[in-house]
Amino acid sequence: MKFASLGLALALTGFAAPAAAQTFAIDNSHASVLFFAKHFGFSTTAGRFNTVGGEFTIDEKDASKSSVKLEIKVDSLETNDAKRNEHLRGPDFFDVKQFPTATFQSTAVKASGDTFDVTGDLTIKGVKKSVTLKLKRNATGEDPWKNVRTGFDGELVINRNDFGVNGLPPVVGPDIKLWLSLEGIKK
Amino acid sequence: MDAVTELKVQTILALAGAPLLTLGAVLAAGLWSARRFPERALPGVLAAALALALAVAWGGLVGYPTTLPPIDRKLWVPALTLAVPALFALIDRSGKADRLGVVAPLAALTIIGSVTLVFAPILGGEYAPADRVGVGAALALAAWLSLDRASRALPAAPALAAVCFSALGAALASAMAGTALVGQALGGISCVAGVASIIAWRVPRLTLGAAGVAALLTPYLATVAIATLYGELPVTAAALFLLAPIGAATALFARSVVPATLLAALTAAVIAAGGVALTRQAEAAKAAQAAPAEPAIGNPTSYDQL
Repeated sequence: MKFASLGLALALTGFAAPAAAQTFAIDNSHASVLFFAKHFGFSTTAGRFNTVGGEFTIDEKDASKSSVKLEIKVDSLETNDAKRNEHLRGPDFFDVKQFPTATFQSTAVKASGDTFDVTGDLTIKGVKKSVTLKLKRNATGEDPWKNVRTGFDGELVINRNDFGVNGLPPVVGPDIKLWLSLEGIKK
Repeated sequence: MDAVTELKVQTILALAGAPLLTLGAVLAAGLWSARRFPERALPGVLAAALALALAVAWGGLVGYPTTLPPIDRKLWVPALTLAVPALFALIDRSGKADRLGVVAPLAALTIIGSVTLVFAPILGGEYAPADRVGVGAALALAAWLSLDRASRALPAAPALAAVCFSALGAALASAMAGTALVGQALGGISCVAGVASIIAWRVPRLTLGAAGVAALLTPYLATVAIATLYGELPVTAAALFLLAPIGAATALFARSVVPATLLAALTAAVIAAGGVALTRQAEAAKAAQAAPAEPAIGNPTSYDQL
């Protein structure tokens, strides 16, 4: 009887079963946030943000309890042209001195198998807009050092003018495609 | 219309077309409404025309505030371009604008207030240390008082010409330092001041007054500071651009409008040319530092394409 009571108490306090929600810290060296912009409509210029942080929580039983939080150091952008990088960091575009980070904080998550529709607040240059990020889970498992990892790919199209990143129209097209690949290590 | 042509038309319209139309329309309306008094000086008309035209030039290129306070602090500039001359217009109307003891503290307060509003997120930090901001504000005040002195003693043309060439130099340097949009905004200021100088030379009743000086210098000084503190304009060059409108004071040595205007324009242009040369030197040094030891194979292009 005593053992039965102890078992019940453990179950109620969450010790008897593993937690459904798992939190992963984003691994910057295996996280890619790429952006693509049209140049005069002739070609697509690609760039990336090299410093990405944050975490995501995945609740396998109830996807609506999952969440994603991203923080991107805008200063870390790279487009394979030093002069263009400097211009993008300046007041014509991202104005990194005034707005050093871009963030995404989810507000609702819907799942269908390994596909997640993550709605949340994207803040760029101080302007917050609700967007829906489509993420597809690639795999979850242990690496050779027994860390549990999981990774997602996803994409999103935004209008840069919505966020006040409106330099040089129409040299740089208004629609910016963001492509993300995020790998997290279980905390 | 292809994309390249569209860019040129859009930029030219925002930089010069819309501001000059505004300037012309306000001046025409002001002169028409004052036609009964052909001898009376009209400081308010030129100040209003400049404030509206420069707000249109700046806002058309960089943007207007959609919220108050604006999320992007730079968007204070078009609002200040309209509000600050209105404040100085009250001093003009009160008849106290001739007193240095009234104009100087108000100009200092305007500069401090504008700096605080536009640069609050970085003020005192690594990008805008207090000593650098303090020296910049002192230079801006010196330029303001020089322009004010010249505009009280002379017709408006020399002061406008000095700001035209100061802004032209700052525009070239900003574009060189990689801040094209802010450079274009300075180009718009130069264009409006230049055309206004020609009009003021032909219509001497259009005087600047304290409000006109405020209308010219509020967007000009703020934009130079933005190109420096939010952009990459070298600090030494920025100091010269802040100081360049002081050239207007040299016009006091001339006896008639044409030589006064030429003297003011030349002095401002020489100081501004120094700023352009310093910027060019700094950019060349940066490029030399960034250049790879061997030429990059397959990537011979520059940033010219954007």
